[in-house]
Formats: sequence, structure tokens, C-alpha cells
Amino acid sequence: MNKAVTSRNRKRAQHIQMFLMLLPMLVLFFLFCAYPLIESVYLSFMKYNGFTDPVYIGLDNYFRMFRDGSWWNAVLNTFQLTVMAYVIQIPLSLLLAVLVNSKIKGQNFFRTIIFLPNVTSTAIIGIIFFFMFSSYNGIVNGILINTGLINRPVEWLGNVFSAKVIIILLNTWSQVGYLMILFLAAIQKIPAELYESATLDGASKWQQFKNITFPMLGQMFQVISMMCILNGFQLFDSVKVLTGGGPGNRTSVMALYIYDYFFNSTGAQQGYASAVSVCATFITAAVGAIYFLLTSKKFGSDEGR
Amino acid sequence: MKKRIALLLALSMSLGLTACGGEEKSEPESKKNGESADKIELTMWARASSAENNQTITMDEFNESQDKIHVTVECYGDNYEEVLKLASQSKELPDIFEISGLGNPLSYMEAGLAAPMNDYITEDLEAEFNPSAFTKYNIDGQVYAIPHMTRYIRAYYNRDLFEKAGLNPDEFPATLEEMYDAAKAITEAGDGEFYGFGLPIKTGSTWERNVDDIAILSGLTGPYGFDFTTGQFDFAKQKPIIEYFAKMYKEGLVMPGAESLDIEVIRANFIANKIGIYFDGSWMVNGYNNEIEGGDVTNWDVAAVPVFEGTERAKDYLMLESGHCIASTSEHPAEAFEAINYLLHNVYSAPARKDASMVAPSLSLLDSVNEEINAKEEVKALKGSVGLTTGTEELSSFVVTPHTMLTLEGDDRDTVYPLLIINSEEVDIDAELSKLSETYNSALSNALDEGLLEEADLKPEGFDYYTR
Amino acid sequence: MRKNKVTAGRLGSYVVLILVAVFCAFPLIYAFFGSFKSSVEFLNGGSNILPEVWDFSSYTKAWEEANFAQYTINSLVISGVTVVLTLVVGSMAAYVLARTTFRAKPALVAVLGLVMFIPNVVLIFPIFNMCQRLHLMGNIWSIIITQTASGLPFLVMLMQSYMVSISKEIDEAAEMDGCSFFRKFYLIILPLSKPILATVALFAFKNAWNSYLLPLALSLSKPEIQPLTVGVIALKDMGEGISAWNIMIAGSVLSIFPMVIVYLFMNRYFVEGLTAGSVKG
Repeated sequence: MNKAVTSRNRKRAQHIQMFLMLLPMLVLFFLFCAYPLIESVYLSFMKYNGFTDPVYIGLDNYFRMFRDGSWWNAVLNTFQLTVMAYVIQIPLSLLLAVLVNSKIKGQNFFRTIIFLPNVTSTAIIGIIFFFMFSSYNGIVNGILINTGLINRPVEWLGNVFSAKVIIILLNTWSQVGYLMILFLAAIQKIPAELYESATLDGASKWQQFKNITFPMLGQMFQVISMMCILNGFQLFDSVKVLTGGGPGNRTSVMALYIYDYFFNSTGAQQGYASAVSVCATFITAAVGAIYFLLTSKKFGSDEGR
Repeated sequence: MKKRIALLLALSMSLGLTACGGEEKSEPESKKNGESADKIELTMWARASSAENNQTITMDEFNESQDKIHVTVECYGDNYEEVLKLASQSKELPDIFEISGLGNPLSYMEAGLAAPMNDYITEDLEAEFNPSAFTKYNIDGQVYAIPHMTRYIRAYYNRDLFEKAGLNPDEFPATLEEMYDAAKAITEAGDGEFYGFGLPIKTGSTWERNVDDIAILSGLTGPYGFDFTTGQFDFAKQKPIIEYFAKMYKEGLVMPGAESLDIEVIRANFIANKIGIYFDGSWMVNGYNNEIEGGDVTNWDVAAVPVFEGTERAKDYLMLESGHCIASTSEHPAEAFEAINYLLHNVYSAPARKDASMVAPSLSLLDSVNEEINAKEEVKALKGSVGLTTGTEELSSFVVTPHTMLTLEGDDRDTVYPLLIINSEEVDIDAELSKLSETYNSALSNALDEGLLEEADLKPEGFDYYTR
Repeated sequence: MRKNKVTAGRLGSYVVLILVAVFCAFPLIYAFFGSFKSSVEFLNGGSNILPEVWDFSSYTKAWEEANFAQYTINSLVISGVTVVLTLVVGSMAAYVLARTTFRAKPALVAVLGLVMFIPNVVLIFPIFNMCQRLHLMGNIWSIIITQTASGLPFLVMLMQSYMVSISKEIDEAAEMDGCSFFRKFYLIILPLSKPILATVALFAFKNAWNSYLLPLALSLSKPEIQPLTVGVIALKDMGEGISAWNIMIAGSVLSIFPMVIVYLFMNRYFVEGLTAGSVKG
């Protein structure tokens, strides 16, 4: 009987330990993720200016949000920038992964340099890009003028389209190394014999890529794509530092729009900002869910070939 | 095993304790000065970004001049409003706080964060001030703050560039049409080196300085497109002015890069002889003479802002700004008012007393102070002072500025106007202006419903832009 | 014929890689050399990358006048403590998730994954309020704790997938010897997990060091607790105008290059950890 009691006590002790070990993370998660989310939803039904008491106004904030052209413009911008980023970054990083993986000299060097941007702060690099592309004393315009390619300084950040291009440029600069490393990891898992036999059969590099590399990336491609998309939806630092959403608010994105309403606006806007936040969360989650659903069929499980 | 858990818990607890301890450490610093137990310690928050600003200098003088009260000034820069909001939420307000850079100053007073000053304003004091001093921050007859900064707009221009363009630097254009021609001449003479006009499109206050000012001088609207004759916002009335600037922008007369840079850059370029003309506040005379590098070297001057040909010119727009509130949580409101009173009387001359080279013209709401300072030879000799007015009679303010009381649902003017200038060809200016008016007017009727504004104030009887 | 094709392909590869490498390095090189230009030279622009005259005054100005010493200390404290907290809290949680099953577990794991979808900015204001309730407002701990909390979902999953791959036989052997749950973790799994812990430490440090939005929102009222990222960018909005640009560039270099140097030396851990964790997860 002693043995049974001991093992029961032991089991209880185990459970307590497990719980205690999990607890800190749960506490942090609850305090700084779960509860804030609930509070956000709560505030979205209120009119609140940050220091007097919130006033219940039902769904008014949501109705206003539906009519808010600038918000939907920000949403559109977010989608647009994410798509632009995806179209450039995924093929580029995949290409780089293939190249770095191939038998060339300096593999390590290239891998190191291309990942280097990822360890820098996007906000700080944004400042550097801001200086580089500054209209009248930036080095980009300086080089372009000195080599005679243009006559008048180009206003990179004052024009909506070119400002978006610069934002994408910054995002690409920062992310492409990270995506490349992830692709590299997946590619290196592919058995080398497959390539060897393909080469013996006379397959070209492109054919090898199309028929071996790409399909065998499988679920990894899906995951990496998802990260690229997520990153695009969360764009904040780069836009805030480069354009602040301007000119006007034509380059604003979801995260920046929400931030401005929380922190920069006059009057009772915290409730409205919360409603917009809830909407943004839904949109991001919906995009993620739809993406997974659409691509799961294509890529199936890890074992699929 | 249990020991390990205990160790972990102990570690985290001690870390927590150090956190609390850390916060207490910073408190006594403000009490370091003035250890004598009888001195009343007050804290004051200001918006200034550098510690050597006029308010700190004045308060230092105040502290030295008497033994009863000691004021410590803390400066918070551009994040001032956020700081204040946070403090009001946690009820940790200082004794005195400046109302500057706040989007909606009256909301703080409505929320009960400020204490009324009426008890401390003696009759003598009242007589000293220009009457508008007591109306700006007045709710139901209770005065919550007295503005201490007055500003109006002037055109700043570069005499050297005028000469290079073949223009007479002593004759600044009197009409907007002539100013357009001048800007064009300067841009052509510059050929990429310098430009005729500087328009900092990114800065929000640009529209108040450039568009509103002309609108007020021309008797079209009040600030922010508010029409006091109808009691409604009517941005369409500002259309000719917007189109004027859009035309200058389109024809390349405006310094490039302005869409993404702000007023500071324009000022720096103005001093670097790259901009011929731009509009700025009267206080920049002080700024260029005393603070900005190169301001004493460049040959700049000041003139009145022109209006369209054939328009009758109204009085300049006097902007009353800033001021200080006594916090309702303050334990020493009378002493706080003493400090504020001292500041109102001395903030203009204090920098000059500290450093003789920092003379500046004064335009406070105390005519006595103005007369005293502006009569000094050093002030008269300052560059640009010739273009300034010396008394408040030539300027006029508006009793109510409705746009500060609104909660907008939609884009505000600072977001829409840049697009009207930059994308003037693609945007339907009439549609945008009417949408803007609608946004502001619906917020206006909300404010009226909530009692934040009175109809009588919005449409004063017999109001005339020219006789206000 | 074959050989030509191969060489052309090889050459093409090199060209692409070199172009991308130059693109990646350029802004950093520009910033580095630009920080040594005199204020006048930097503001005048032109197309020179190298300074005409080497001028260190931007750095001294940043350090003395613009409070960069404080910002650097703050960054170090925030990043360092975040790493410690993340490792302690995260590794324990990861172990529990890796080695146990309980009814709520799939739901918990799913929630952790979903949380990564919420845009950071959405939670900022409520996190504000939460910090106020906990009386953390204005204290550097508010940044440390929230930074840790925001990084945990991803890093815990990274650690968990690594621990899952450690053979259970070791666990069982230890259990036979009478090891409790916690002891198994502490004496056996943790030492075996050193590679992933190194990676997690580096990532946590990097994310904390580079974080902008979170510390920006939490340090508005207290410049004393601002890290470098916030401090550098704050200069842009200060009324100093473009005279602050050269301090900002120096500050940017100060902010970036420690991380760059750490990375160059610990390159292996960054890359390997990412690949190990991601492929299994």
C-alpha cells in the first residue's frame, strides 16, 4: 500500500511541478495578450478619450468604421504592399537559397551578408533610408545627378507611388535574408541523390528545380509564405519612419492608422481606435485562415511528394 | 527540486522589489533644491524641447527673487500631450501645466483637471491685460488659463535672392499676384540652386500659417475655414487660396522635397539662401536672430503677408497661444498663480536679462511690457523687427476657435489639404472641400448638442471680419 | 557546349549574389561612413560615400548632449533581462508542452499560434492600461516584461519543437533513477537543449534590441527609460530640425553595429537555430 501512496503522491508532485513551470508563461500571456484583447473588444463599444470615463455607444464605432474611406484606403494599402512584397521577396529569396546552396565559392560569405540586414532594427534602417532618399541632399539623388541620369532631384518620398516602392524596398532589404535561410533549411533536407540521378538523366537546372526542389519544399513553402504575408500585414516601423503615412494619409497602413488614432488624434477616439483594431485583427486572421485553406490542398502534408 | 522552485520564486521576487525601489529613487531629485522645510515646492510641466527655454529661465529668476516658493520645470518636447494624458489618467498631475501643443485644450478644463483662477485675478491685474487674455480659456465665466504667447504671421524673404532676381528688396510684393511673379523670377534666376517659395506641406500648421492667414486678411473665413457670418465651416471659401499655392507647386516654384519634410527644414534652407520667400510666425524674428545658426549672417527681412489684388485688407490674425493651468489636484493654487503671474510679466525679457545677446521683440498681452521692451534700441535694431507690429491694436483675435472643440469622424484638414496641393490635377477640389466642410460641420453640431459650444459664440451679432 | 552553359550559369549566379550582397551592405556602409562626416558635409549631400574629413564630433555630441549614454544603457538592460526572462520562463513552458499531454493542450498550442496573427499595435493601448494597473508605468520593467511576453509564443514553439525531438528514452532512464519532473528538465533536457537555447537567447536579444513600437508607446512619459531605437528616432521630431541629422546617423550606427558584431561572431547560432527549429516545427 505504501508503494501506491508514494506513486500517487509522486504523480501529484509531478503535476504540481508541471503546472508551476507552465504558470509564468500563462500569466504573462494572460496579462499581456488575452486580457488586452478582451479589453480592446470592450472598448470598441465605447466612446473614450483616454482620461474621462468611457461611455457606452453600442455599435456606433463599427458603423462609422464602415463609412470611413480613409480606413479602407489603409486596408487597401496594406494588401497592396503585402502583395508587392510577396511577389518580390518569395521568388527572390527562393532563388538566392538555390544559388547559395549550389556549389559556388563563398557560400558562407554570401549567406552571412544576405542575412545581416535581418539583425538590424527596421525603424533605424528606416531613418537611414530616409536620409538616403531625401530629396535635396540624399545620396541616391546625389549619385543619380552626378552620373547624369536625372536633372532635377526626384522626390522619392513625396510621391505616393515611389514612397510605396521605397517601403517595399526597405521591407525586402530586411526580410529577404530571413526568408532565404528558411528556404535554405528546407532545400538542404532534400536528398542529394535525387539531384544526382536527375543530372544523369540529362535534366537541366530549371527542370530539376521545377520537378524536385519546388515540390519537395512542400509545407515549408506554405509556412514561409505565411510568414512573409504576416510580416506585410504588420508593417509599421518602416511606414511610420519613412512617410508617417503621408502625403496626407495616402501611404497609411492598418497598423499605422490604428496607432495614429490611439496616440495622435484629438478628442474621444480611443473607442473608435479599438473598433478599428478589432477589424484589423479579423482581417489578418481571415487572410491567414484563407491562405492556409487554399494552400493546404495544394501542399497537403509534409510527406506529400 | 523544491529548493529550485523556491530559488526561482525568490529570484523573481527580488527582481520585483528592485523594480519598486528603482522608481522611488528618482523622486527625491526634484526635492534636492530648496531643502528648507518652509519652501513650497511646485512642479511645472512645459512643452519646450530644450532645457534652456524661456519658461525655465523665467522660473529660475522667480525662484531666486523670493524665498517662499520654488518651482521646478520639466520639459517634455513633442510627446507633451501624451505625457499629460497619462498623468491625468493616473491623477499624477504637476501643480502647473502648460497648455501648448494640445489638440483640445478646453477638454482638459472640461474634464475638471484645471482649477479656476478667478479668485486670484485682482482688478488691477485685469486692467493690465488686453481683454482677450481672459476670454480664450473661459468656460462659463471661469478663467482657467491666460495665454502668454501671441503670434501672427509674416512673410520672410531673402534680400540677396531678391536682388539676384532683379527685384527691389525694399519693396516686398503687396499682392499675391505680384508675389507669384516674384517667386517665378527667383526660381528662374536660381536654376535649381534656389527656389522662389517654401511650403512645408508635411507640417500641419502650414495651413494655418499660409492659407488661413490670407483668408482672414481677406475677410473670407476665420481660422480653419470657420465662417463666423454663417456659424458653419465653409472650406470652399478658401478655394482660391489653395489653388494659388497649387499653381505655384505645379510650376515648380516651390522648393522640392517639401512634401516629406517639415518647417524646420524650410527654415534651415531659408537661412542657407535656398528659399526666396516663405511664411512663418512673428516669433521667428527671435529665432533667427538668436537661436538658429547662420541667422545673423543671411540677409533676410520681414514683410506683411499680401492678399489678392483688389481685396480689402483686414486686421492681422492674432493667435493667442499657450498659457498655464493650475491643476485641480494642486495643494497650493494661490502660490501656483503667483508663479504664473510672474511668468506672464517676465517671460519675454528674461532671456535678455540672462544673456544680453538674446534680445527679442515682445508682443505679450500686457501692453505695458510691450512698450517697455519694444522701445529699446537693441530691439529696434534687430533684423526683421522693422516688419513687425509693435502693439496689439493692429491685430485681432477671435473669441472662439471652434475647431479645437471637435471630435472629427473622418479626415481632418491637415490630411486633405496636402493632397489638394500635390495632386491638384487628379483631385476634385470642390468635392473634397465640400466633404471636408461636411465632416467638420457634423462634428460641430455634435459639439453644440453636447454643450461644448454656444451658438451665440459661433455667429456673433453683427460680426464683420473687418471690424472685429 | 555543355561547359559554356555551366560557366554562364555559374557566372550568372555570382552576379546575382554579388548584386544582392552589395544591396544588403550598402545602407550599412553608407551609414557607417556618413556618421564620420562633418555636419555640413553630411547635410550638403552629394554622391560621396567616404567623408572628406573624418569627424568624430557627431558621436561625442550624441553621447554627451543627446543622452545616448542613457539610451545605450537602457537598451542593454532591456535586452539582457528580456533574454534571461525568456530563457527561464520559456524553457520551462516549452518543456511542459513537449513532454506532457493534458486536455487543454491542443487548444493552448493553437491559441499560442494564433496570437502571432494579432498586429502588435492592436494591443498597445490595452497593454498601456495594464501597465498602469500594475503600477509599472514609466518603469523600465514595463518594457522588459511586455517585450518578453510578445516574444514568447514564437520562441516557446521553437524550443518546444526542439525538445520534442530529444529522445524520450533519456527521460525514461532518468525517471527510473528517481528523477522528478523538474529535475529531468533541469539536469537532462536543459543541457541537451543548449544549441536551441543559444539561438533563442540571440533572437530574444535581437528582437528586444531592435524593438521600436512597444518601447515607443511605453516610454513616452519617461525619456530616461527609452532604448536606442526610440531615442534615435525621437531626434527627428524634436525641434532641433535638420541640425540633428548627423547626430541621428551616429546614433543609428551606435544602435545597429553592436548587433551586427554579435551576429558576425555568432552567425552559426542564428542560422542553425532557425533552420533546426523551423524545419521540425
